[in-house]
Amino acid sequence: MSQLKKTIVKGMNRVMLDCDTATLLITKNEFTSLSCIEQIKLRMHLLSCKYCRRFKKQSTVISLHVHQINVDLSNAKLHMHLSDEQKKRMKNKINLTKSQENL
Amino acid sequence: MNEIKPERWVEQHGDYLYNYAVSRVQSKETAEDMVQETFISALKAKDKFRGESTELTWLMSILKRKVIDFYRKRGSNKEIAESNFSKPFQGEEGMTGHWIMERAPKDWQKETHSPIREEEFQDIMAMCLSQLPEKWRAVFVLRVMEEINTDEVCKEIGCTSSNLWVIMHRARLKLRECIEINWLQ
Repeated sequence: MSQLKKTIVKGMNRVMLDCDTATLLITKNEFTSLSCIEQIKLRMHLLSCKYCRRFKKQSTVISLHVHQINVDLSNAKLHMHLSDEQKKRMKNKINLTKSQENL
Repeated sequence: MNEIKPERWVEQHGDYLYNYAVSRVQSKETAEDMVQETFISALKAKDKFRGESTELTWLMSILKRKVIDFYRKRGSNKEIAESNFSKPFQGEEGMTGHWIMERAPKDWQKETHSPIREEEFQDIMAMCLSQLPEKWRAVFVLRVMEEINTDEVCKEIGCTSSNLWVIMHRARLKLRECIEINWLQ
C-alpha cells in the first residue's frame, strides 16, 4: 500500500468505525449509554453496513428470547418437570437432614 | 405470617426451582444438585425464615445465591482470551475489523420459513451457552439473565467493567453465530 493510501485509511478509521468496534458498541448500548461521539459514529456505521444492522436486529431477537425465559418463570409456565425418581431422591435427602439436625 | 412446611417443598416448589436452575446452569444434573442443596440449606436455616415473604420467595433467594456462587467459582479464573474462538472479523491481511464474509450475519427472515418455537429456541440457546468458556458464560448469565448490574457482576467474578464489555462482546458474537448455525441448518 502506498504511503498516501495508508494515511487515507488511517484518517478514515478515525471517523469510521470498523465492524468489530461497531458490534461492541451495539452490545454496550443495550446495557448502558454511549457517549455522544460513540452514538454518532455507530449511527454512521449502521447506515452503510447491512451486516451490522443485522447483528443489531438479531441481538434484540436473542435478548427478547432470553427475557421470555424469565417471563415464563414468573408466569409459572414450566417446560420441565422433575421425575418421580428425582423427587424421591430429594425427599429422602430432606428427611435425612431433618433427622440429623433433629428438627 | 407464612409458615414453612419442608415436607411439601418438593411437590410444591420442586418443579419451579428446577426450571429456574436449568435455565441458569444449562445442565439437568447440576440443576438437580442445586435444588437439592437449596432445600438442605433452607432446612438448616429455617429459623431465619421470618415469614414476611412466601416460602417460594425465600427458597428462590437461596437458590439465586447458589447460582452466583456457581459462577463465581467458575468465572474467577484469570483467562479472558482462552477458547479457540476467533472473532468473525478480518485481521491485518484484509479489511481489518470488518466481517469475514462467510461468518457475517445471515438474513434470518429470508432463511427461515416458519417462526421458531419458543422451546426450540431456548434449547438451542442453552446448548450454545453451555459451549461458551466459563467466564463468558458467567458474565452472560449473571448480567443478562439474572439482570445483576455491571459493578456487582464484576465484584463477584473479579473483572473490571471495560473487561466485562470485552467478554460480553465476544460472548454475544459467539452466541449469535452458534444460534444461527444450529437454527438455520
